[in-house]
Amino acid sequence: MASSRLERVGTIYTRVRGLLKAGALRPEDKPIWYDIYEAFPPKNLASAESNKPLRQILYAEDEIRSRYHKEKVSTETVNLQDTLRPTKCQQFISKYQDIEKENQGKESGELYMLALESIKMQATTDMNKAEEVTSGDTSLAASFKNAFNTSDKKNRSKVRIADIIKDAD
Amino acid sequence: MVPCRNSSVRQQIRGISKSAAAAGNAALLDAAHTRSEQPGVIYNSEPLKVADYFGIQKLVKVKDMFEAKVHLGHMEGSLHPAMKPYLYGSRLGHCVFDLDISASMLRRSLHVLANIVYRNGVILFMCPPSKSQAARATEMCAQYCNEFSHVRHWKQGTFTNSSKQFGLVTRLPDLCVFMGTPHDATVECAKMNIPTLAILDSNADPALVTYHIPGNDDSMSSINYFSKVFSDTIKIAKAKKKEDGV
Repeated sequence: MASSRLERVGTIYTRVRGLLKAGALRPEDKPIWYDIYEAFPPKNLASAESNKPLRQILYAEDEIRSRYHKEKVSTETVNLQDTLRPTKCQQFISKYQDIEKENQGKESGELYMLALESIKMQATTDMNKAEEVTSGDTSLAASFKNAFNTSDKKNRSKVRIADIIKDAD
Repeated sequence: MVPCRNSSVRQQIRGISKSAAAAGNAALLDAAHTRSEQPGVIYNSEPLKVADYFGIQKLVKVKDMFEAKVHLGHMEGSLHPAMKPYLYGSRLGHCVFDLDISASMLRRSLHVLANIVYRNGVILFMCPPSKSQAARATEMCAQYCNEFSHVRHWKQGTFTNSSKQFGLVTRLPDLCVFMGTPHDATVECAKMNIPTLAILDSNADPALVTYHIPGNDDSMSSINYFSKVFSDTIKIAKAKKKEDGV
């Protein structure tokens, strides 16, 4: 088939259209994509002349999020595929937003401290609740705790490493 | 060098791995080799008049794309200026695609893909050898829908000099689907007037690609999503072709 191999001139459609128009390509020999291209041309938007600056995606809570990450060293393990459980930072932000709704007119620094306290309080109550749940004899954690508390602390070995080293000398 | 229209010549696509051959299905391979375009055949033009003849528009959902992390691009510094219109914006230096645009372009691309399959076209799935994580997904995608794949080193002239390289008149694919860019074959496709679909990441050059699909081409979740959508579309189009008896 007579065809230009200058791939940068026009598109595949304009090149084949030219061949058909000039009679270099018989209508029965036109490629199978030709009619499809005409019926459903690409919707391409790409152009190098786009001078519009890139939009920065920012959220209102970014300010407190960055403060939270600066002040708190995160030690939690996050599973990125888990979309159901919020991370500690997400929990903090939703708490902050709740508190912001309740205390309108307060400064963000103040709200931040309130949210931190509230998160801490919640953590302790949650821990107490968990203890209550596991206080039965059947729980492994509870039985371990009991064993630890009831064991005779006086009978524990009082060997000190420093003494052993001294003897060896 | 053109796609051979003479059905009496045994048509071969050698060097391009046939997924059916990998599965050990010799009968299928023979059927693919002799799959021919009849010269001057009049195709059923009904699918071109209907916006969604194959019912594949519902395959594409923005939510699925979001969950497959299709919206994530590269760092802002590596952004190709031509890809800017496809972006929603930049989140702390990382490009984020506008999935509404991506979904509409993917729908258009799938529709074209289905139409070419409907007209007995040969589809070739390709991924650059540098993107080895996508190689298996690409091959499996082609195998699932009985089409062709090429995921290894691209030998210059495989399309442009095919009759010399294979020693026979060779039928070239009718549509190339690129699971990642840049790929050396985009230039050869453009030279040989073969339309291309390509997943374009934010650092990709879209100049020679016919149908753009802006999205993440690096993550496995995204590659798997695209391979599923492509192979499902081809299956649907083949079923429709069988149903219509063309």
